[in-house]
Amino acid sequence: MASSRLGPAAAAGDGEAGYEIASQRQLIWRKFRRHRVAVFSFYLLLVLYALAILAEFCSPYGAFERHRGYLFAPPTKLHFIDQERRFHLRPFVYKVTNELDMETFQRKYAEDTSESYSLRLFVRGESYKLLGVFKTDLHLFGVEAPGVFFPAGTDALGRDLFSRMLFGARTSLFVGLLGLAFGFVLGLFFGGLSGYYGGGVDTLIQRLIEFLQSLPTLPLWMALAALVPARWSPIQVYFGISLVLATIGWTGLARVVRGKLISLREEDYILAAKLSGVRERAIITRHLLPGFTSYLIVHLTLAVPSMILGETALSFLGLGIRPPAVSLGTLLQEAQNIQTVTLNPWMLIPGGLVVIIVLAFNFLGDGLRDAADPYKHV
Amino acid sequence: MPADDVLLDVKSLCKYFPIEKGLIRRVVGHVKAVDDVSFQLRAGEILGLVGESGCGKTTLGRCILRAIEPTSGEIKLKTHSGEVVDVTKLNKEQLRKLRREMNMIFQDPFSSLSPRMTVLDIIGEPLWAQGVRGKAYEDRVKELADIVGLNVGHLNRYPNAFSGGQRQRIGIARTLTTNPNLIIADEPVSALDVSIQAQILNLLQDLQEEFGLTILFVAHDLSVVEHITDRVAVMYVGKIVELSETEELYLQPKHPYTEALLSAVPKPDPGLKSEPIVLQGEVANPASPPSGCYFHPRCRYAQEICTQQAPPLEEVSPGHYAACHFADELSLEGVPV
Amino acid sequence: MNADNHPLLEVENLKAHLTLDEGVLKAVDGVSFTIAPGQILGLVGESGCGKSMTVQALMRIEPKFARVEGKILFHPPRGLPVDLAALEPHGQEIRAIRGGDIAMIFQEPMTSFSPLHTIGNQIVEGIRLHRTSSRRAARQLAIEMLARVGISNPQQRVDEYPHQLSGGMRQRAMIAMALACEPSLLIADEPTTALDVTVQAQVLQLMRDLQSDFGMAILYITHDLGVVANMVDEVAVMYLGKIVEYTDVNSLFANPLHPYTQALLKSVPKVGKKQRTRLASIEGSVPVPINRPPGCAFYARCTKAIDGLCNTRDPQLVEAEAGHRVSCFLYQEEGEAVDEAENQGGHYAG
Repeated sequence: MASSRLGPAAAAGDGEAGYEIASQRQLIWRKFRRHRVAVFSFYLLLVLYALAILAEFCSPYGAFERHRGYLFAPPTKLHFIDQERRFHLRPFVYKVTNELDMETFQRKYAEDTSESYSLRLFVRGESYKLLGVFKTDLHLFGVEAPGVFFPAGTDALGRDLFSRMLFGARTSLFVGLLGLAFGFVLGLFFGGLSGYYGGGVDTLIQRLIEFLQSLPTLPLWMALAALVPARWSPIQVYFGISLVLATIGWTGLARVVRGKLISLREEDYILAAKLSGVRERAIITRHLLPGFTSYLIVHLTLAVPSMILGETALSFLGLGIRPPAVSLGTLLQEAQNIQTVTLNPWMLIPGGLVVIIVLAFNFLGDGLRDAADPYKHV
Repeated sequence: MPADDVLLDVKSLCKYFPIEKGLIRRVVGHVKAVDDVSFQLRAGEILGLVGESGCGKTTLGRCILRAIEPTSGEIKLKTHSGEVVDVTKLNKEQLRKLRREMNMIFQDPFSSLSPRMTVLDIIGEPLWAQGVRGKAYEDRVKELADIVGLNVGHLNRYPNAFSGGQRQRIGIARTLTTNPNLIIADEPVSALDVSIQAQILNLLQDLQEEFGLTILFVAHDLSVVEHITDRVAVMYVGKIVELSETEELYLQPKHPYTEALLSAVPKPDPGLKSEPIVLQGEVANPASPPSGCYFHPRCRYAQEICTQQAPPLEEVSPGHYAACHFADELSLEGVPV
Repeated sequence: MNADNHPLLEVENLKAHLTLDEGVLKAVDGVSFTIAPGQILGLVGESGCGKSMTVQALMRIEPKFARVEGKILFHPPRGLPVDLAALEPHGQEIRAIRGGDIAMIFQEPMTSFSPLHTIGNQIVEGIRLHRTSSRRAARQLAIEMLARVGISNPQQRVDEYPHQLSGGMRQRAMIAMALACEPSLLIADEPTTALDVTVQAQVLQLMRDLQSDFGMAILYITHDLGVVANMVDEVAVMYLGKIVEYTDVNSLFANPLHPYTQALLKSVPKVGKKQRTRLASIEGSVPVPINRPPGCAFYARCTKAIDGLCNTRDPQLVEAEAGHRVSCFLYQEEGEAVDEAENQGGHYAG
């Protein structure tokens, strides 16, 4: 019985300096920082989102820039030490040559050590509009033409896979967020309605949620995705897919909102506010909403991966984002044949990126969940 | 008693909770949590409301504030302006305005303070609700913090930095900000340790004397109630079974339940190893109470009539009410002094 | 063979330190006491004083991040004495003692019964583990025990689930389960705190009756001084992980020595003493024993504290009057205090 009461008083006794005046948000942050994996995931995701937003700049080539001589080229090797065993601080690549094996009809790539190109920052390449505004042709890194540098190899059309991955990640990462935003609105609305009014409204919404959750997800997605007209532009498809994902994704959130609302309404301090004459609307904005924002953030973080996976799955099946638009799902779709696995294994690298993104979101969510309850320890 | 002395007049207050069953929530019965309760609260007194868990004392307190909607009955409260209003008849906005005249102190000093607000905003909430802002707001909060013995410099802290006793002081300060006439204290010290309990009891006593507060003190601890109250009402299964001046009730109880309750309190004195009256059986179920007097199955004085007729709450001697057929005849034992 | 000249339980310099993020919390910090066979010892204190942790350490059910040190010498009526502190917390030996020779009852019976099994099965399980392997005999014994603790219609009740019983009945069933194996020591951790007064009176009377019938010793943990006065033979008052006063119940109430005990007794309102006077309260609140500075634990709240002495050295528990031990410099000679501080953790058993 003593232990539950010990936490707050314990820290009041001494403990970290400034604890006494720490707000709940500060406490959450403090606790979160102790969760190393979560903090690492947080920064990793920051970097990934930055790379995705600035995809044109960070990628050495454009998403559709084709290198006709380099179809299915493997990842280019970076070198620090040259033929004369001299060390170069600046990494370089050798010229890549290929010839067709007339027996197997495969291209065999080899390095021609006679020519080398150093890796440089801010190389001029295909021109683009940065953030859709600044027209430029600078790329973060690359090698001078005619040298080529494919960090993750190329695909069947000779397009740089690494560059395409950045563009694909942009679609996938933001489709997740967009889907979540739609789901958030729906979940908050229905969950709030359900928890606030209770009674018949609650029962109705809960049955609806149960119904939606009992439907097999994939066929439903496929059915809904089939509704997206084929002549829509990639941008429209993109919104369409987000909506499809949100239609199913909101149910979990609605449950969280409802449960939290119901348990918060039972708290003595809500009753105290009511008995102090605080209006219903003020109770919602002053007490109820701040009361569960931390839970919402946690829930949303944990929901992003399922959105991303959903988009990837749909695109993989050819029902989601369609080429020429690039997403991690379409990249994987291109890799879906036996030839890839045996001959061009680098085509599976986007799958690795999906795994990393999903894991990072999960770790981040775990860390946030543990931190969201800063008083729950001992 | 003279009418102008009465601050709160509760008449035939009932709260029945429906018992629902099955998918379509058919009502199969009622839990009579508060069953036809009437009493008056005089201005400036502390009235104790005691009983065991489930007797309806907390429900009664909350019904008076309309934290729970009562099923029927009247609750007449005299406001600052001297006007008498029936709390049960007010609409939402009228009730909200009346909240400045009455408030509640909670049992749990942990769940009753929002962990996301500073102490300043917690104490000031009733003022804020009435639209007070700015310097007037802050000055009043500081004044109150000082009155209840909190460090004014700590007002920008969050409740998690305070111990249980200090938190209860914060809760008390909150109820006082709008200078209410009526305060319902729902077990305000039962969650606290003995040494802290004494601090809070002293504080309540001081505040009562300084500001002439009228308090309905809901509690289960008879020694605390005896210490702080002027009069006591004893509840059993939704009804008041005895109501009297505190001293008289403890020395000469008129209801057998009160007698048993008093004798069951363990006395902190090893020399007084008197055998308590150990009641048989359990507290009656308020969903299906026994016939006649609800207490008769456990009463050692029960007669034939007790199983058939429910005794009304009647004045046995001046100011001393009891609901027992034999209140006049029995000579019950109070607390040994 | 040993019951005549040995106490049942000797606890010497018991410590339970918890490692938390904020530092080391000395929940129990050098506690020594003895319980004779058939004796009732009360362990009294406010929340956070370490009384519950003492019990957990005794039964070796302390939390994982706790470190238990010291000696817990248990002399079972049959068999050789064992030092519980030296046993593996999850080992065979301690499990044979737990629930057998030492049984325990808790504050909230609902959490100590499994909701998935009937009351009867849970009692039977204990009996079969420690007394008899016959299912039929064990069930008969369980029914007898339920009848013994005053549960009406035990034949039917034995097959009911915990949630079907009221709070008082559950506590009775809990006592039946604890006593089914005829323990020589019963540890009762606030067994009546969650109960109403009239039910508490029933349970207290039951425990007194059972104690005189079975003759087991009881370690009674509570914060309620009224219950202490009515239940126990000897009392140890705890404050912040240490025993500050240790004596028989009559002299504690008649002549409390430690300033904390004195203040505690004065701060309790008593029935039958109607007085609209202020209660003597103890100012401040119980500090949390994390990285506590040396000196008397009660120093900050004590009205009789001596600056330079009480806040620099730890007082030791010494016999101030015959059979009345107190840990306070008011009852110690200056030189004595220094001596005591030097032979750290002396014990005053027997």
